[in-house]
Amino acid sequence: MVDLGLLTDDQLKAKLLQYGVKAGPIVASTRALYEKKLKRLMDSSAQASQHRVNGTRDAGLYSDNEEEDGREEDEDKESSESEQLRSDTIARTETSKTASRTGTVSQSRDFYPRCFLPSAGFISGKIQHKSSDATQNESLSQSGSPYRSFSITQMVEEIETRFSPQSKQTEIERRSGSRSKQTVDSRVLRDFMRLDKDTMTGRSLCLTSPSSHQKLTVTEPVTDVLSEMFPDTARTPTGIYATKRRPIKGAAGRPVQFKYPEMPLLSPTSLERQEIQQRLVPLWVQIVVFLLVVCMLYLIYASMEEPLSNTFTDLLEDLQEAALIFTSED
Amino acid sequence: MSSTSQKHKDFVAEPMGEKTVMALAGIGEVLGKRLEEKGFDKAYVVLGQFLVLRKDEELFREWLKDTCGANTKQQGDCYSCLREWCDSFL
Repeated sequence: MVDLGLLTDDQLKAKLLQYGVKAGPIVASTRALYEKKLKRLMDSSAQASQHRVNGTRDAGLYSDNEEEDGREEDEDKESSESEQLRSDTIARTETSKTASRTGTVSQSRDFYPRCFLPSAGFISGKIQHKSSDATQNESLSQSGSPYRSFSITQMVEEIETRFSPQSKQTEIERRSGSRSKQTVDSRVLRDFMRLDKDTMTGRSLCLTSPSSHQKLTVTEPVTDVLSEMFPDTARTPTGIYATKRRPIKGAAGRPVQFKYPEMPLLSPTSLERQEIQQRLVPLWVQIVVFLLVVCMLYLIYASMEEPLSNTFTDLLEDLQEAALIFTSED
Repeated sequence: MSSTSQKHKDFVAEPMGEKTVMALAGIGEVLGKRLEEKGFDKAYVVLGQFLVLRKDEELFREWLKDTCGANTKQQGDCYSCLREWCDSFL
């Protein structure tokens, strides 16, 4: 075994290049690191030639202490590997690697998190030829008009395949075939959203796939509640309706006038109040009418021959009678 | 996606200037002392090492572990801190 300490910097660099590692400058502080790396590469390649066991590599890739040779090789061979899927674990490390770079998007397994990896192998073969728009759930919000024609069905397929790759496969093809003729937007999204709700209750879709297919077709006539409530709003492809929020006045030190000059500065409630204040009948007319009515009522009361009796007048009369009796007894 | 600490945010917000190594995310008192003993007394020296290693994550992590004994989390914090700083200012 060649003593790595005896190699010159250039030789060390050349050796690393043999293993596909493009090393940086080999200076005092980096030399030790590169020597270790080369040693590891040499050891692992010797091991690999002796016995090809995927398990050991996987264990190495998983562990926290850096077993980097597996990952290093992946990093440099990723372009050649883009079409094959050697193992789930390698795909996983590639996921972590390519997430940090702006990697080629044809590797669809980049977008699948670890928890979904068992179906990644299934999906990658299916979706690889499609374009990059079909990312995870986040792309639902981005599915604007340019992507409408294919990405939504794609997403639905992905979600469905993710949860039950085997059973749903034929169903998806059936459904996508029937759907491609119809307009895609809201119905597909409703199905999509319904799928989300269903899957939250423990993947019921997987078990009841034929019944759910019927259920979806039966419940199609039920209209969207929101569209009933707000019939005037224009339909959006994502089903999300958003209105511009009134900006927080003085947020981040920016006065509202300069940021949104076209918006009315008053809140909707103050605008309503202004509308109410513009009465049909002006205020002074109302007061005059009120005073007239008061005068009329008083006149009517005054012109009555016998005053109305109430408890106070009765009490006063009793007191007056009592006083008269007292004075007359004297 | 893990959230970043306040230290990370503070470091990434401005050029590091003459900040000490302790200002790096993931590097506290103990690790900072060890780095200073090795000669990495300022954050820019660690940055220099980071750049010499071509901003490679594994190499930098390993270097940190060997130099000051940082654990995985500390390595990750320091690496992402420096990388983000480089993205903004380099």
